[in-house]
Amino acid sequence: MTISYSDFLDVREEYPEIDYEIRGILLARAQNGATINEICDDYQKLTGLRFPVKENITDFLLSIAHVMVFCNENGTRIFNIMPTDTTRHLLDLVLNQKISERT
Amino acid sequence: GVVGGACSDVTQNVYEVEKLEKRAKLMELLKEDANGTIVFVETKRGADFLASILSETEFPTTTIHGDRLQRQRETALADFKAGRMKVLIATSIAARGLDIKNIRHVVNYDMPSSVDEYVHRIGRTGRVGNNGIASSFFDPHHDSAIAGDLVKILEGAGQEVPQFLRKYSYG
Repeated sequence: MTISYSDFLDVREEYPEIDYEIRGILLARAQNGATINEICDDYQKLTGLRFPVKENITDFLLSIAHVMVFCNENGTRIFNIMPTDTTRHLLDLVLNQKISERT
Repeated sequence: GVVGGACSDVTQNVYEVEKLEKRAKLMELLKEDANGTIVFVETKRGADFLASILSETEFPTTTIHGDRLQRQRETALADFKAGRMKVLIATSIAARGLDIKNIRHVVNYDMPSSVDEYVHRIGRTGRVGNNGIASSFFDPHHDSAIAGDLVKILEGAGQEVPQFLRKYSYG
């Protein structure tokens, strides 16, 4: 399976900031990682918009730079974010802050 | 001045901004001059989300909120004071009791629920003879309850009261 950035160009045309927004959502939840449901909920809460991708959400998320995923023991996909030069300081804060309960 | 009122050496601008438009409005204000700006938001997750986007795009930004350890708060504050971070995003509660003075610009991205909190926040700018700026995003769907009190604060501080605010203050 090959996922290409260009597969979701229509989404990106309509939502030009969505890559930044998804990385921001994942950064804020980096301690535990985030499920697709959590990402969609956060997207709506934080942007006020309905999450625009309805199908192949995993493919879409993995077409965003620095996004990663693993499958947990229940078969749930847990997404997270790699540090970049501009966000490393924030990721360090989140990863080392008080331990939060899974919500 | 009035006891408990807001200082008049702070220019207080209130903008009518709906939730969806807040980020673009913040970008517009930061593009004028981002240095020494503290931005107050409602939620911890919202603080980190916004800081990530600002840091990735144009403005090195750090955050302070209730999940941070004391040491982390001090680091964030030191980065902000030294100018390594141009913008500090904070939740109200986390910013209490912190020694943050002489802020150039306070932005109420999310309005506080009381004017006492408003006065407390904007009191962080415009000290010791420096003129400060306080910019507030008033979302009529969320903030109309404090419109009346806000009008009184602005009038008491000799500030211009925007027409939309009077409208919402009449209920």
